[in-house]
Amino acid sequence: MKNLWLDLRYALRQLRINPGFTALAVGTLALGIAANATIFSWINATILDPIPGIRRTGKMITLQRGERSEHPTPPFSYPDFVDLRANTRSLNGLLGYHDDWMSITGGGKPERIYGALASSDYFEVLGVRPILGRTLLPTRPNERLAVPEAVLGYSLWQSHFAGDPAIVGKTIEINLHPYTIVGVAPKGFHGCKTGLRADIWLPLGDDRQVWGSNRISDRGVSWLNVLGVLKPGVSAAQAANELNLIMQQLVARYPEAHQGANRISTDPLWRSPFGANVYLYGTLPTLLALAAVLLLLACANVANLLLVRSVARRREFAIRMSMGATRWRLVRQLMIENLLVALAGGAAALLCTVWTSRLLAVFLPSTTLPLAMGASVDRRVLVATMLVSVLTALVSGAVPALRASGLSPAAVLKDESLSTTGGLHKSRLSGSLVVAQVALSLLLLVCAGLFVRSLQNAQKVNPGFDPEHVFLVTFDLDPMGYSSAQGTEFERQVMERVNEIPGVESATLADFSPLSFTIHSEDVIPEGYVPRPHESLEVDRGEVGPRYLATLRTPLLAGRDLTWQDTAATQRVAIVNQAFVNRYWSGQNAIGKRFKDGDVWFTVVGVAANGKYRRLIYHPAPLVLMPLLQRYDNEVILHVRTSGDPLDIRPAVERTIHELNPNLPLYNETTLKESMRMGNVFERIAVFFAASFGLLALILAAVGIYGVVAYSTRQRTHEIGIRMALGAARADVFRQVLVQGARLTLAGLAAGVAVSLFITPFLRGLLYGVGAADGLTYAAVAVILSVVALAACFVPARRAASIEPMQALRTE
Amino acid sequence: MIELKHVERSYKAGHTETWVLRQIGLTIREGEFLTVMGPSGAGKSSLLNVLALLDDGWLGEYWFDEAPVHKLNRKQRADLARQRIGMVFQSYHLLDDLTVAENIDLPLSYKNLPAKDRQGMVADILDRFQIVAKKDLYPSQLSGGQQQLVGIARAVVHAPALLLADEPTGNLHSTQAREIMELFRELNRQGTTIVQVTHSEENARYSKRILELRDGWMTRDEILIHNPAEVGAK
Repeated sequence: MKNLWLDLRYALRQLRINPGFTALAVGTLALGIAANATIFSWINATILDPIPGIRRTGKMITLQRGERSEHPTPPFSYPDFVDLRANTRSLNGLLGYHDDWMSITGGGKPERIYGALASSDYFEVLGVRPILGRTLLPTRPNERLAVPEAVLGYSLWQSHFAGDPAIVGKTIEINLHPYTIVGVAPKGFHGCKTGLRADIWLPLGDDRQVWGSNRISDRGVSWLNVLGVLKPGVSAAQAANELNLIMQQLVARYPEAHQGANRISTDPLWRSPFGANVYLYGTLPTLLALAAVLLLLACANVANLLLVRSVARRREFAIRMSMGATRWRLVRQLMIENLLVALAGGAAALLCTVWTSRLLAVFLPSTTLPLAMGASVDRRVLVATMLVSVLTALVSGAVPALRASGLSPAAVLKDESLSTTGGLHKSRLSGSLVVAQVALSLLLLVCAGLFVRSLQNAQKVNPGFDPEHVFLVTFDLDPMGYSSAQGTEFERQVMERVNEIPGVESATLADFSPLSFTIHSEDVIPEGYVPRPHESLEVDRGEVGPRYLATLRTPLLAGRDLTWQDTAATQRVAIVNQAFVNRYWSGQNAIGKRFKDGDVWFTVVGVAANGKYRRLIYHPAPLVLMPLLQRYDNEVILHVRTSGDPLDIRPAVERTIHELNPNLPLYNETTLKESMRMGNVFERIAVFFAASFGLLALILAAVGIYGVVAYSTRQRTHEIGIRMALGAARADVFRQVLVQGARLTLAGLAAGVAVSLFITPFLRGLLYGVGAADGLTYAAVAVILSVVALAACFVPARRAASIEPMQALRTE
Repeated sequence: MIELKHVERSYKAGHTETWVLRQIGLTIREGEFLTVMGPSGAGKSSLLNVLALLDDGWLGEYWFDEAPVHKLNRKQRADLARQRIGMVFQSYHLLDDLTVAENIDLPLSYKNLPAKDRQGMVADILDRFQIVAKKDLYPSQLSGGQQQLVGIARAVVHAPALLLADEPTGNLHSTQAREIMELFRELNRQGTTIVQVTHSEENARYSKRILELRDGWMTRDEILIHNPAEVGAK
């Protein structure tokens, strides 16, 4: 260790006097490391830190009831939650919450915020301490009562109250009801859903004041998400077993309130079905694996650079050995050089990641969701990047260092030409590295190709409606103090008046818009259908205005569309889609049949064609559309089909709505096409990064092939000179060099196809409409790689063919 | 100091085996100044590499001050070489990217000596060889003779018992060569045992004993009867 400093100094000097090598090696590794650091920063912000700001992440579980789904509705009623919390012995705490939009009123226009109603020990279970004041009163009786107190989120405190240090005790009006601010949550804490930001927390008992519901006393209404903390020594499976036993007793005691599936399952927070992780925990690790392959490729490239360089430095190594350097000492010195290169690459990658970590948000379209996907370079990303850099130094540098230090000093010092001896082994090793590079490139390109084809297929698929020329705008009547009757009337007038605007073909309201993660789901009981034991009867549910199908241009297969006459005064009706009919009334005429939602029976008056409402790659799910005029919803999205550019209609629509209520805030004014980009956001992220990695891999492979072929051609200058002196034509030499590159490429392609056929089946879950062994993708990638490889050989081949024989012989 | 018994060395190339040292038996006493001569390909450098412990592929017995080198493993041989042997090359073999002082420090850095001790030793040798002014220069900034001077300084900085020199003046003109040989004679006077390989009869005359190799066989082992002190005066 005494001479470590000396080795470090020599290593720094070596890198300084070889700026070309240093820049190339650092740049190559920086690319690979940055790709990994970027994806890791996202994983860090989502999967590793699913709920920022809480204690005991690893001990927490989310509870789900019923059939497992990627898009579950809140699974528990308040009475069930209370009973589970009172009887569980395997959990140290159980919290319940419901989050949704609400508005700050009392000022001019209402300000829309996303907030949560939370159980009394919500903050205590999470281990979140306020930075000002206190959290919600932790006594359970208060939970049911409409205690008018609120805890502010840090960002709301900053944005709305300018970080007022005396905020505690002041009042905030939410949906027209005053609340005393009792505390401020710490910075970074956003609530319990990954990727979604809540700005305020109120007691559960305020459900009636905030949203006008009376869910707190209804065992049949599921509206709470529930999280628990495992007791030490208790596994998630044990907890799930115990909770299921309690749930079975509740189902037996209250059968009417527990129709359908009631089995409780648990998930660790990193793959919680509530929040963004349900979509990310499959995509991000896959991208990290692709980034790791890219890094391996970069390592292979740098290893090749080091091998070439070690040939040039053989004399130095021989002298050092003849002066007493042991092999270990030489390896150490070389590894220090590699480590410096890798750490410099890591540092450059970190700088790059400061920017690229924010890219995740770039992919998110304008949406009604309060997304908070703030990845950044924190200490964990920093440490991980540095560890990866060290690992990179080992992977890229170990073999070249061992090779370089394994020479015979006597032989090297005797051989003054110092160029060819030992080159054969190294060129074989270099050749093997290039084969590996081509193979890894093929793997990455195939993955990228499969993702691209998958996205193409998803985009080509008929969503079941026409997304062109539709303008969307959201409004919420609750904070304006409308009753149900007033609200229904207001919404009817909005639809009527907007339909009269010149240029509007059709306009209607809905409580969701397709492919933007805004559709709801609900348990329904189709008439005459006998469910299997524990079968979930959850279906997608939309509340829509008259002529919804016509406005969205969704084909009507039977019956009629919803009309202006479907009001509270008439029979409850609904439209179902073909998937609903196929599942529950297969082979039967659905028109006139009924299904039960809660205590109300709805009669089917129309059957719509299947559509995609959640994600483009999902199979169409059963859907019911109920008349908004029969089931009032305060928060709705106006869909306006126009004959021209949908955004041109925006001023007229705003003016029309504000003629009815000048103070009504309008949100998320966008087009349906833009809004539904959310429906394939994860596919687009996968495509963008897989394609970027594939492109980088292609470049690295080309550089690798070029480097090895150029180097070995230079080594063979003398041989080529002799061949040409003996009569070889320039074309022969040119062909010979190309054949050398082609051989390496072919070997790499063969190895790459074998590896890819083994690896790509793991991507199946992320693909749509394309097989993991898609022949077209493989063929296209092989052709692209071959062309690029031959192009990379072209320059050295031309250089070899232009060698002057006499000069080559004299040089030797 | 050194005793070789039946030392042989061959190289295999395909199916043929080429012998470069045959049945070498040799005793070198402490304080000797020995020259190895012979035509190209006679095995001179091979013998020097064996003596320097740079080569492991020989057969026979090699005793270095009672230590049976032939029974030592590679690491033990490397340790022995590091402690007891210095090497001077025809092409100097200085590291281009290190300064004169750093080049001289190189063998010391591989002996795990404290940095302070090393600095002192390097300073002493720079002074002794009168190259203090050149200590921060790089090899490319020195003449051939100066480079070889640094090469010798590097070889003797750790006070080796045995100094091996392979054609030490082969790349130098006659004046520089004479200065180097004078330096060898002085080192020998101070007690360093020297074995040099040379084609030059004049350089050989600086030594006390001449060994001649032909086709790997030792064909002559002659003690010089003239007074080596007279050689440089010509």
